Amino acid sequence: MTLPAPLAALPAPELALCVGLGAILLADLVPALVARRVAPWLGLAACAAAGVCLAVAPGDGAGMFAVDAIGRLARGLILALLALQLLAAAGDRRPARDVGVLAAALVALALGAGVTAAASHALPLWLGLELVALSSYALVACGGGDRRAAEAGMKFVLFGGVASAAMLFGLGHLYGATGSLDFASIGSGLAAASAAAVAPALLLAAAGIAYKLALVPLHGYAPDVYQGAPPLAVAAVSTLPKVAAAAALVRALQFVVPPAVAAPAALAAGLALVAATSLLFASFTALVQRCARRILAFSGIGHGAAVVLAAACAPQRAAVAAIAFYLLAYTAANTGALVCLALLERGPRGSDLAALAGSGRRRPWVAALLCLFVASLAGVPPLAGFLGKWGVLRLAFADLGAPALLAAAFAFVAATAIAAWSYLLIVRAVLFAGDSGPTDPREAAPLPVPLPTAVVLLLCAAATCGLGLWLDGFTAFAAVGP
Amino acid sequence: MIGPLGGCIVGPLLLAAACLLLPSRLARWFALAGGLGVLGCGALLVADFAARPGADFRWLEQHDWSRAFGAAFTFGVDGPAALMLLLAGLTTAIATVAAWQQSDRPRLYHALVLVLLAALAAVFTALDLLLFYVAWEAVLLPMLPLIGLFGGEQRRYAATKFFVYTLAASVMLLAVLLLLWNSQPADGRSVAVPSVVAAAHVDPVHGTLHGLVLQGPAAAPRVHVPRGFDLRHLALQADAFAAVPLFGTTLAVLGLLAVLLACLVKLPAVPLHTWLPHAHVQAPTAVSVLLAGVLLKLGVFGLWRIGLPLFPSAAAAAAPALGALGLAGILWGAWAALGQSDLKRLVAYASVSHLGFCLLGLASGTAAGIAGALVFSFAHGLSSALLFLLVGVLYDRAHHRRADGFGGLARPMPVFAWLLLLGALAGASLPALAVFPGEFLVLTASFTAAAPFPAFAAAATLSGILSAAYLLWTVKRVAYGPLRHGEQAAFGDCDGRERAALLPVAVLLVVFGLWPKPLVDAVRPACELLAALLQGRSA
Repeated sequence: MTLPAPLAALPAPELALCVGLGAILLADLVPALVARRVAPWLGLAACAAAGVCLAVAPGDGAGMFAVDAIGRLARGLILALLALQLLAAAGDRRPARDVGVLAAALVALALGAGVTAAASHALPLWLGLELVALSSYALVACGGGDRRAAEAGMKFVLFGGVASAAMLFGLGHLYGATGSLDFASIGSGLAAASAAAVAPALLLAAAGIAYKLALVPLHGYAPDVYQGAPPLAVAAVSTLPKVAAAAALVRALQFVVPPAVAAPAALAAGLALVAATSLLFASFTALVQRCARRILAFSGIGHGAAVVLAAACAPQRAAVAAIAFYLLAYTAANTGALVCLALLERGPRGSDLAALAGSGRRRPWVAALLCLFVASLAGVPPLAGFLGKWGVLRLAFADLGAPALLAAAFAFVAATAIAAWSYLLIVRAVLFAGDSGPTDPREAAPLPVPLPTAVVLLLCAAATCGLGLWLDGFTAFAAVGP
Repeated sequence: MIGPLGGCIVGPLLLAAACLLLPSRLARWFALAGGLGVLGCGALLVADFAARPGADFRWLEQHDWSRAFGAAFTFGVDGPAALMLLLAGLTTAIATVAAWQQSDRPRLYHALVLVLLAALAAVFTALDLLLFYVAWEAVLLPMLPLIGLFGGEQRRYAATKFFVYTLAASVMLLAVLLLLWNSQPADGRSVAVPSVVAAAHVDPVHGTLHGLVLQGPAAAPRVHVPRGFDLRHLALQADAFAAVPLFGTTLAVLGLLAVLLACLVKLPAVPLHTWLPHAHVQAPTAVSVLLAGVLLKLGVFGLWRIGLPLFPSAAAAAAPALGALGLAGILWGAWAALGQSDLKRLVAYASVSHLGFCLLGLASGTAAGIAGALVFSFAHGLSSALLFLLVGVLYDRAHHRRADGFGGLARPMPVFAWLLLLGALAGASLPALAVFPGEFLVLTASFTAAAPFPAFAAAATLSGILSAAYLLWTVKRVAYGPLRHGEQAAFGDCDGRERAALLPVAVLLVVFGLWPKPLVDAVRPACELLAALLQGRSA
């Protein structure tokens, strides 16, 4: 096997991001450009170019990348999210020096996520996940010397290192068993191998994906990272890797796991069990949290598990559409909620529910939007999160003869009801609690919301409200593809 | 084009946006306009159903949603829905007048009330199960801030409890909705049309039933029902749902359980009622009026629209248990009301007792019982609105609601005292006031229904004594006797704004008490049809 030259192997959209990343890093060397905060706008230009490439010629990059429905949908979503986060970065008030780092890390994260989402070969899959991990560490730790951010970054690195080591170990075993790194060849090779030898390798390889989706028991880093990292970093780290991992999971299920290793029903039951465990664990644990960002972290764990539940349900096309819709609704609401929180928080531990009390009086519109996003995460109709849940549940309830899936679906419904309570804690703190703290004259009139940030919020809100009744979205997503 | 029913939903939403964007002094006028608009539609429909009784759906309106899933924005109104639409418009208008001087964030307040009105109108007019569910849950979105932002001291706790109770109870409806959809064959299903349904619903001009072409011999017609969420089509497949095995029982049984859970919490039925007193005590007066006036009726309406027609066999089997729950609510609510010292809690428990009658009537499965339950829930909307408004009048003056903190108010506030007496007598189901016809229908129907309903009816009559006791005792403590608190001599009687809210309700209580015929006529054919379907299943 010959390794092609790295850049030639990249599909066009990722190549565009690569060029953009280089441009941002070069611009970071010119003080005049740094002072003008051009980095996010360079990133946006690269993002737009990548979007055009994705629509026109996604490309399979020397056969190591798949051109399929989930890849297209996931990469489209990744680019949209990157654009949102670059916009938010443009509106961020941090020193100009940090903006370049932030923009570079965001583009690198999206690049890694895109590679992961498109990979049909173990090598780019692992490289993409590593790039996602490295840029996530940079994002989480670049809070500017904050001890909590540093601690969050450290936990993230340690957990992530273990997960990617496990994954590499598993991929190595798969290579040993099949002699190939290509998904399709691994799949056909596994069909001949013994299940007992292959199952541990598959489980280890799955650890990397489970880590990115923050499934129980690999979820431990999420709450600390959400709490400690800068809010924009959280918005990126909690959405882009999930989208990439979901796409990788769907493609791996499609190619790698042959019927010989696990009967479809048994595999579905196993995934459903994983999903139900994470869903119930996350919803119950969220109830006792006293920090808005930690609640969102457990929400993220639950939403990752819902994606796994959808992946457990055949048929493929409908599952892809449901997952794409679910991720779209989740990422819009989650990004919006974190951007809102960033605007509402004051000082250290600002995301504690007690510290958020009365913030609705200071910034009523931002608080109202936060409640909207949180309601969508909770799945209250007629918001987008509801229809996302609806799509996943429709698949899970499809087969009345599959008790494991049905039970997981009921667990999902129950988890929805329980989690609603934890989301309500945020609403309660922001809207209903009076401002009991000392009033600082400087805070009587909060700084106006920067225009790019306002645009981000409006876009997220438009998606959250507008997608909530778009039933035909499932049909439209199911029709995407090669 | 959007028709009048779509307008009942879109109109209030547009008005809500106008409330938020235009100067705040206009907001209350927008809210009033929204309420009156829906009130007008409801009144026209009730008058139409009273003049031309029928079990059919009128003002039908359909907009595309998703052909792939068989979902559509389908609106239509039968007699009971017309009654509920009228009630929703009426209570919104009354509540807006009651909150005319709203000084705390008036634009937000009135906008939320309008959003609530739109969601309520959507529940009452939806003929698509998915649309119904969306609207049912959407009711919570404005209610949460209405209680949590504008309520009393413990509003956070009350709003949380209200939201968690009602959301947790109705989320299982989502599971049932999807199970119903998934259990239908992808290419539709051919079902026999019961003769009573054919008689009531077949369009004589086109020879269609709910838009489906009739097939087979005229004596035993069949229709091919496509997969989807249309409630009328789902009801035709009731027997098929009862035959789908699921978790050791049938889809129909589980479906009914989910609908019951959702509806009994809203109703509320004992023992799921504990959110209600908190929500009422903490909510501002006008929101209490909306809560008692319309929101509790969602429980009755959900059973009417979903529970009984879609799962008739399971409902017939569950009837005795439901009747027992209704009886428990009647007696427990009345007993608990006797012990309340807070006037709002007292009225809240009276609502628990009264809504128990609605559940008893629905459970009886007879035409008179179901009609009684629906008429009763309409009249309860009026009587509870009157009582909550009167408690609000007291609270505005005394800033407390303790029943023993008043006395002899008839002297400084004669109009108030008369209205309080009227409200109490209506609440105690005095004949010639609007609550009586519904209660009478429910009780006579239960006496004539199969065992154990006669026993339930006999026990339920006890509540007549209890309700007269707690209501008249309250009137005595508040309005009669010597003036026990000197400063209350200076209380002004109801002012013009308060009278504008109170008098229409009082007049309607008397009018519909003396002349309940239009209400009963409007709902009777639809109730007879449903009762025939239920009895066909239980036999």
